[in-house]
Amino acid sequence: MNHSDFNDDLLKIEEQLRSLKPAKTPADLTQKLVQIVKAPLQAPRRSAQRWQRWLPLAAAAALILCLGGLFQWAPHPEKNLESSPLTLPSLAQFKDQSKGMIEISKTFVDAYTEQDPTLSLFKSISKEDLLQFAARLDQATERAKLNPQRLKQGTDVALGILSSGTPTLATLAVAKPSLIEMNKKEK
Amino acid sequence: MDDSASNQWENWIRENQDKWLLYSRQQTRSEADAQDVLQESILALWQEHTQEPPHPGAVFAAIRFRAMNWARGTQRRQQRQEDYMALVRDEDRSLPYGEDEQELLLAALKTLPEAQAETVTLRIWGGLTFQEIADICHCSIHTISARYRMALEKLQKQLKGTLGK
Repeated sequence: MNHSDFNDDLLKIEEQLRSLKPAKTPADLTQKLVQIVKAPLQAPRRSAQRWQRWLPLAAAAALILCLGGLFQWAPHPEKNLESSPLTLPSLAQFKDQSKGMIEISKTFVDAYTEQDPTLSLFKSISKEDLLQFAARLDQATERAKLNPQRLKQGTDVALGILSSGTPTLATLAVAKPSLIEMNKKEK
Repeated sequence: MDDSASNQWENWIRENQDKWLLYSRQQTRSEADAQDVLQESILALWQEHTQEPPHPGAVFAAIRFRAMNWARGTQRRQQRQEDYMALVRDEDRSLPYGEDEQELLLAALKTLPEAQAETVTLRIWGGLTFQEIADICHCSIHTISARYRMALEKLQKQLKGTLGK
């Protein structure tokens, strides 16, 4: 618009408007605005944002590739059972751990079974059995290592027991003949 | 970003922030909203421009866009705050009228329709050309110049006989 279009009154109004100016920006807002442009490393640039958008997809793709690779090339435990010997804890370690468990079981039998119904499982355990078991552990001697096939069969029996529920002395007793049978067959 | 570019941005903010905030106040309904919208606009422009700050007019466009989204998103339709036309006397200029007249002028400015007030703000205090205002408002330059003229005529009509005596 040319100023020639304006009459003097309009020019006067324009001049009067120009005699006003915007109020000062509050100092705290100025501070915030300056902080925005003073922190280049903290704020993501546009190119960084573009990358960030693809990061989850890239991570997911990498994870799928890793898992696929592992599945493809990693040795399968069942296949290797026959070729590589499995290791069991030594008898001394087994004794230590068993004694620890016996101590915990005794504590349950003594103190907690009456207080908490969820621990009633331990009511079926007799304290004398636990003591006998502890005594027999001391007498146990080291035997020759089991071969992997035998170990696998034993593991299957144990898993069968566990899958039928929490093992008790009763379930172990039922399972015992099959374990003995396996021992006999091996001999 | 190096120090010189950072200082350039800071100077750019200090020079222009008052008029941006004035416009942001007009476009929003409260002081808090105005400040939030201005901060978001500066942040967005800073992220888009690698080195040199853009033309100050870009901030007006960013404010307008964000203020519209802000109002839509939050369903804010409350009464506009009274001090949205936050203007004060420019001490560097000789005052062609008294303080009472200044109050009258401010009151008259508040009676302008939003589109006209926006045009006057961007033209007088934003220092933009009609073409730049047209780009921001997505209107033709003729519409903008007509709005400006109508706004001044309305102010003149309201203040006739009181100003510039």
